[in-house]
Amino acid sequence: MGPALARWSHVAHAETQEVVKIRVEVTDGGFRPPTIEVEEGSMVELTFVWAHQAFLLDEHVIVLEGYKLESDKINSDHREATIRFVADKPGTFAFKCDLQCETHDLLLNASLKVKRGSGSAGGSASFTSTDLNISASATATSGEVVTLTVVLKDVTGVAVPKAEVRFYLDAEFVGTRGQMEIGKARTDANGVAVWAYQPTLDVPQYNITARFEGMGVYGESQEAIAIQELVAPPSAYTVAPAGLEGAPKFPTSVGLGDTAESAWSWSVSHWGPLLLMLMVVGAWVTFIYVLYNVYSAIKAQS
Amino acid sequence: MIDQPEMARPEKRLEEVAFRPLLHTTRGWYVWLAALLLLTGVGFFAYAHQFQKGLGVTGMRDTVIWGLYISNFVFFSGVSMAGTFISAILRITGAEWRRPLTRLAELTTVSALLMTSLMPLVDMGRPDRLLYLVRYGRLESPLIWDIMVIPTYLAASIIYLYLFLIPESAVLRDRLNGKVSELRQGLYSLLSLGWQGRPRQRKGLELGAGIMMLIIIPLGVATHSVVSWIFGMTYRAGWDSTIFAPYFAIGALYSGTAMLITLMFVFRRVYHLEEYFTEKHFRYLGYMLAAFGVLYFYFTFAEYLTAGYKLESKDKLLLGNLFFGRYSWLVWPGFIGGQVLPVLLAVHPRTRTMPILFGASLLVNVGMWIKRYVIVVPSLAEPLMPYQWGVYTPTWVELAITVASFAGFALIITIFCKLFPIISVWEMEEGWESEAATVSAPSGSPGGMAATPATISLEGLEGSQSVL
Repeated sequence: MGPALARWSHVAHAETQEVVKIRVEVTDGGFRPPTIEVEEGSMVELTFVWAHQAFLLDEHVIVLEGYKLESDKINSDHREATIRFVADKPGTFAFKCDLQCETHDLLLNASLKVKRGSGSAGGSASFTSTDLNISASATATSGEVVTLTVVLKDVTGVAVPKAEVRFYLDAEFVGTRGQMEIGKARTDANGVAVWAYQPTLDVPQYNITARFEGMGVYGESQEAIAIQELVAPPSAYTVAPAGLEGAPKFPTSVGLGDTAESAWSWSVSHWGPLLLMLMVVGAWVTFIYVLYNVYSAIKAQS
Repeated sequence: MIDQPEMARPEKRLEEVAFRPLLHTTRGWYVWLAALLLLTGVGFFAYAHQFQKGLGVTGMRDTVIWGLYISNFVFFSGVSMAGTFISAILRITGAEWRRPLTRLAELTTVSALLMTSLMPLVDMGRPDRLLYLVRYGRLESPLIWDIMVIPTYLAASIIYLYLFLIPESAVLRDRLNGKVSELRQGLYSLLSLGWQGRPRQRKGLELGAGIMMLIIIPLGVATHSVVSWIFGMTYRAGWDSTIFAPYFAIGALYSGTAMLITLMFVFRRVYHLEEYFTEKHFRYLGYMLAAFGVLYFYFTFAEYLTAGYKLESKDKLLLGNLFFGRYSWLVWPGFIGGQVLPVLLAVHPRTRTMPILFGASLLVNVGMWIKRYVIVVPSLAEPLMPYQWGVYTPTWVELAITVASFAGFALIITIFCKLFPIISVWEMEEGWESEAATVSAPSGSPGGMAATPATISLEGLEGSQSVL
């Protein structure tokens, strides 16, 4: 496990919170009710109930855009799924089915309206604090994969599933320092998220931060880790951009040994220029020889 | 004062014609020099402005990163192929008609290569960035290959020009003694290295010249290949090609031959060299121009046919813009005027006259410059991502530096011709002596090589090559 550089977590309010419970049925005609309203700051428990009469094979996963929430799958066997969240952002947010179901077109236009709080009318629900822990090997070689593992739990030690964790690398570009996003992963039922990262920078140390930006009832948390660069990368080492790993590569490797993995395996882009450089050096040596020879011949007395 | 029978001798006539520009300066020459100095001066002013303000004063931006400078770079590198390469080929093949041409051809190469070398420096903005190329450049980059090969070709061309100037300087040292200033006399003495035409001196020069002749041909090909690989080693539309190296080499021979015809015609008129730059020279160079033109046309056809047949989306965009879009006003005149028309004019016997060939050579010069611009700019302007096309409009700074580069090219030739004859006197005399020796050979003469102390035979190059 790599050394943790920094740790930060949201402070939780342990007070008892009033929960606004809402049930929304998913029917053959769409969501019922299609529109729901809550106060800003409320702790909301939104339960989606599978209630089809005709489309008995329909399955749904309901997503609440804006709050980045996603329900468990509901179908004729598992009829209810609940999402809990703190309605901390005012506005109107769509919720819809994310699967290609028979009634998909009817499950696109529902909305959650979070009314802006007005003094005492607003709720005062608070987030549950979380604890994020990142681990990886302490050293890495540029171009080779490093597995970053994140465990996300709440203060009581319960795993936080389906949470999106983003990974950032401390980087510098044309004199500007900042955190560059290098990937993201989602936690599983055990609160574990895994990201395979390929370092490509020629730096002595990679500082990587994993960040959970909060979701539902969970507050944000983050942790940083430092990975030491073990070996400087070869000068011509390149890694194909994401999505192009399978693309044909040129120049192809030209093996000078028995196998492609031979230590003597060079590429065209290496020996071609070397040959050119040898030719140029040879030319300059010839120039010097010619000038010296002509000068000596002319200056000779006989 | 030389009497009439003396004047009738070809050697004396040649001396009179070749040395006249060295000894007499007309008012027209001063006007011409002043014009060239003015144009290069404006170019220096423009460069100073660019140096002070940065490359932002040019039309180049983050999309179209190369413009006139790199077009000029490719153009001048092509012109440089004219001289030394053609001269070396003609010398090796023993083409006797080459003798009046070689000096002009070699001078064209050196002058053009100096301009070729300057253009990347101007394009970098800050000249100290050249050190970055040396310190941080990767050997795998074609830009570094250019940095290695072009100075090598320039050095080879200067050495090649100089080797044949050694006996010429001796001729000038001996025959212009007292007729020119002491400074010039000293220059001739210095450059001649004490040449007396002794057998050992001739042998040493023969060997050196023979080696340089052989080495300069692959160097010329290498230069134009690496220039092409700046483009050909990328995946960009219009550049992603396997035939760019021979395509550029043939294009260089084509534009180089055209520049040689242009300069030959001008010098013939201005220096009254009608006896030496004859109709035969123009006809032979016309054949070469036609042959290189046809080859270049073939490469152009093959290049666009294969890209147009496969019609990848990037090529479709580019070809559409080249032939029917925003660049068609350049492409079609450049193609018809620079490739088709000159070849037709050079092929037909009725149009293969000196003035028409001169016109054809001008068309090729202009057409090939356009061709280089069309290679460089549109491929960069085509977006790699779904954004707008890049826009490039040259600014007055780039135009002034471009004009100055052409003026500088002419200036080097002008000043050189004030110091040395544009026709190689010793080489011409050597040719006549060789001819005379051949005629008198049946009577048992061994060759008559040492008629004057400042002559040298390069006819024995076969011997020097065997040394290699």
